[in-house]
Amino acid sequence: MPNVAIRLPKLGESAAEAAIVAWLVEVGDRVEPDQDLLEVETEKSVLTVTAPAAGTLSEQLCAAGDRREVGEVLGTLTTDGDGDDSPSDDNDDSSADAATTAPDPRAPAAPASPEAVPTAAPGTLFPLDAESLASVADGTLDESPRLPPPARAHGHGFFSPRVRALMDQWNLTPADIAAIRGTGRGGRVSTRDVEQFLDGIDPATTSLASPMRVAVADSMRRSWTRPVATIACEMRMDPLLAHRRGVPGRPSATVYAVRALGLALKQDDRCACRLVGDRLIHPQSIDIAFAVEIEQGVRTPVIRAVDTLGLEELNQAYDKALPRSRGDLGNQDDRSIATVSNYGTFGITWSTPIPLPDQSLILGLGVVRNLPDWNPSSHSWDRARIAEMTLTFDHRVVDGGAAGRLIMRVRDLLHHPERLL
Amino acid sequence: MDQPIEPAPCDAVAHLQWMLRARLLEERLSSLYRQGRIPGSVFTGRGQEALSAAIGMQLRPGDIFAPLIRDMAGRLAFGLPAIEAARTYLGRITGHMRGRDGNVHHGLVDQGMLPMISHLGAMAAPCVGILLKRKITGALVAGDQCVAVVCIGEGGMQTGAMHEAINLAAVERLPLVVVAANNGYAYSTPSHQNFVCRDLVDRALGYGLRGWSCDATDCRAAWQTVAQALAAARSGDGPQLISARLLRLAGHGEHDDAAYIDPALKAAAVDCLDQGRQLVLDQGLLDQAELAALHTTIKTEIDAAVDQALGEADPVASDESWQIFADPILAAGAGAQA
Amino acid sequence: MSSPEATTYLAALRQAMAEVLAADERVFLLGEDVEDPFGGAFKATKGLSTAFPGRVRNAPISEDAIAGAAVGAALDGGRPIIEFQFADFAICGFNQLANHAATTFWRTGKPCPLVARLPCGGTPGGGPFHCQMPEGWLTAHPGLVVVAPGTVQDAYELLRAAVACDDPVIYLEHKHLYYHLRDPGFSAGGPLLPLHRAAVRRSGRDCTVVTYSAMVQGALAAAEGLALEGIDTEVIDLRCLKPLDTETILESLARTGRLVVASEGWPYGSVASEVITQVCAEGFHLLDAPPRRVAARNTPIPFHPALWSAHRPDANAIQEAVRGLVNF
Repeated sequence: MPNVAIRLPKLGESAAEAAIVAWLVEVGDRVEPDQDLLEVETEKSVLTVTAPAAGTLSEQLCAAGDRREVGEVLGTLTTDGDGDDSPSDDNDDSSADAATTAPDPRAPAAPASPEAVPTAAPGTLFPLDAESLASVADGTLDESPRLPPPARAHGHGFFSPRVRALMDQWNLTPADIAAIRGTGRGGRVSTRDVEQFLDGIDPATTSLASPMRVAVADSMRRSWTRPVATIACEMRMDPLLAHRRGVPGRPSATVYAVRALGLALKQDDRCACRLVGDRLIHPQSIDIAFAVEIEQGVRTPVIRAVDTLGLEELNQAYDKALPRSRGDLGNQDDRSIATVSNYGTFGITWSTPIPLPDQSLILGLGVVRNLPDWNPSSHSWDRARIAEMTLTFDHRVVDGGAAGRLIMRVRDLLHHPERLL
Repeated sequence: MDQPIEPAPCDAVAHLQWMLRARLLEERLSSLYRQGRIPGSVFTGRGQEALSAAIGMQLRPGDIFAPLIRDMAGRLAFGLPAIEAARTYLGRITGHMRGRDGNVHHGLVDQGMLPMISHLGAMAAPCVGILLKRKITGALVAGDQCVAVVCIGEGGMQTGAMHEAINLAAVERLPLVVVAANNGYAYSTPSHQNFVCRDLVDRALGYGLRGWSCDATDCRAAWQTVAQALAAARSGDGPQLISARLLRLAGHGEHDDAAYIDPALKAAAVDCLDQGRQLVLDQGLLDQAELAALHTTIKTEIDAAVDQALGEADPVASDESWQIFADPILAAGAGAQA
Repeated sequence: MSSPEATTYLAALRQAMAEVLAADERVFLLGEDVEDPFGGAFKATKGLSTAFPGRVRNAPISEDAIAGAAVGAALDGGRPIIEFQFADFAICGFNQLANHAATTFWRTGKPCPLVARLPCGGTPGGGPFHCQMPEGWLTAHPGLVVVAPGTVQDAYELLRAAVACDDPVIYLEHKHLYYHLRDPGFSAGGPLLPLHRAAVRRSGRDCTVVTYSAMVQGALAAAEGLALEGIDTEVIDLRCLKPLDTETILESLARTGRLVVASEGWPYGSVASEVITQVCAEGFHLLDAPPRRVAARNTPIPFHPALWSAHRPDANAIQEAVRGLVNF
């Protein structure tokens, strides 16, 4: 003899509540299925609530004039039978439960009973419990494992449009904010990360970078987007140093190296190509730059067609190309196919200079040192003047073998300076 | 109320003049279309002028007129300057529609002539709405009400819009006069494929309103029928339905040669304009010479209007405001971006 | 739940209608079943035909004629309000709204000020033809103003503003809010507010949820839940769906950088897609994550409450979308 709650059904499209007009059945009265139990009045109309099953009204939980919300219990009906085939009273308004409620075979109208009709919880069209609600965002229903958000393939990670705008506003490049440890998904740098980074910089500790500094920085940043590799070899400098004494103007080792590199590339220009997409761009003229330190930066003046100039002419062209003043930025649009850097003038043994953004090669000369050199014919140690020579190259264009052959060819020419005249 | 209504006196010469104005204006516009000087098409009311002019002439200030495509005569008689018709066909910036709408889609809203939209039947409900608003505000004078005339064809009579509007007018007992010109063809579709009742006037009974039927190629019949229906509506008799039989003596538009029209119908067709000319001759109102002079006078007047419109400016896209909102706040604020 | 004495959305709407009927003799109301004693399918007009005899009128079941009559009355100097019984049925009057009301000012230079009230949105058991959100097809047509109040105060304010507007205004009133939304702080009689301004219903730093109509309440509920997780959500109530107050949206995005547009309507060609398009075009630089749309499923609206609940977006769906963007 289970008890069934008589609830206020949802009587209309928009009804939230109703007023009780009158009970039509008293406690203890027998009721038949679908019999009118009480009258209620919504904003829209007066309607009756009916019995879901046969039984006896055991309780009235409201009286005429009371207001009740949809779903509230109005009274209790003690139904006939053992309960197995009676409407259950544990309806929790869950649609899933309601959908599986078996209709009462003895009550043909059972589906119309208030218990059997599922309703959304009254007044909570937007409940927050995750269980009863399906995620319906934008048709992508399955949020199960998926690929991570795309990262850009060209050298740096993803920046949102907003982070990019912020970087533009402050003239920042990804390199400038490389120090930021991103707090976003997958270590992404978020807008807030950038803002905090900038907030953390004390203006008192900063100074304005010179235009030269900014230009070099920009050039090196662009250069660094490529995979570069470096190879090195030792070179005897005695022949070169002896030879220069006999050449008017006494060309420096840099001039010799420019000439030697030029001749080597003239023989095979493949190492000096640039790669754009799937095209190799071949040099049309053996124009070679050399690095010169000036105030707060580096310049790379260009000597044109070095393959056509003898050492003496080359030396004159070299002198002419040297910066005239400390602020002389030269012609920054000067194109060349490779650079020679004589970092040995700073006492440096070897280095890995970075090729300019529009070049694939940079040749470096280390400091000349007096070193013992094994003389196999005399079986003795001779004194020799030796320098390291490096070649740094864009590995997309040049492989180790080709680079090695090129640097050996250059060394061979420098060991025999008479061939450079 | 089924008392017979006193027929109105008809000035046959004036009636003929309005018919002639419409015919000559549309012939000129048709010619411009054939010269490639009018975008879209030209839609004429050839053969329907007697009915249309009878409506335009018998409406009064304060009445509402919702003409359809074949109502040039009615529009002119109601008060539309011929030059406005030409401007609209040409899309001139000087016209009411400023090139934003064209050909037959124009009106004089402030004078009560509604600018039709293309959707057949759609003009009836606005007429009902105007009458209903006037009824609610007490502007319908008992016994001498303003009326709204909505023109439709036998094709448009089959729309749900027409049905809904007529029924609403009947329920509210409004002075709406529906003039259904049954010109035999809805574009190319003959009447028997549009409806099967004996005469569209039979529908009046179904709506509970009074019906009138006439041969509208007969100028006098057209005039008298319109007169009686208007008088009944003004007197408070509720909506009226006129079923006017005639034949479209042209294509749907000037792009259409109307080859589908039954040759027997064409052969037997009566041109209301010829009938109107004969009428004034028979009645001794004009002689042949006067008739010819009238023709010349009207032709001169029409040509002057069209020529003036031809000389006027087209809209310039860069000068167009593209302003969609009437409300000053919206127009000043979000209008343009919306 | 707020006190029973608090003003309901429906009462606020009814009060606005009573006020405009009393204040402006050009106003009348036409619709199906609107007269007393019935007073409208949702009782929106209850008492009005008694208070304003002859000016609140029953019409036959003729949506096209009702809308067309409003066009005529507006052109004749009236300020008609029409009630469609359900927004779903406004489709039967769409020709008059889209081709007539919307085009008239553009074509003729003559204003066509009418207000069409469309009871819209979902209630359980309503099924495919009694729950629709029609803003997608209505906002597509130039010339219509479309408003969708999401608060009790706005039910009142936007109706007054709609009647004052010189253009045809589609007023989308949400059926679920009629009785469920109450406001003890409701006040009438203030100055007329602009129709086309969006409102910031809740301030936040992490994500902007742009929404309207009943989903405003859903978004606010979602925001409360998200706050417990430390996510600070800003909620923008569009109020007016056309024209869009893009300025307010962009200002909000400048604060938050993330956008979710939540609507009960269908996703395709929607107000949500328009908001996102405008934001991407004008505010791309403000975005920290791709804008996300939370909309109903792309099927008709199901009848059974279990399916219905899963068809429409809710606070939970909004939360999921916001979390996804914050963790993007």
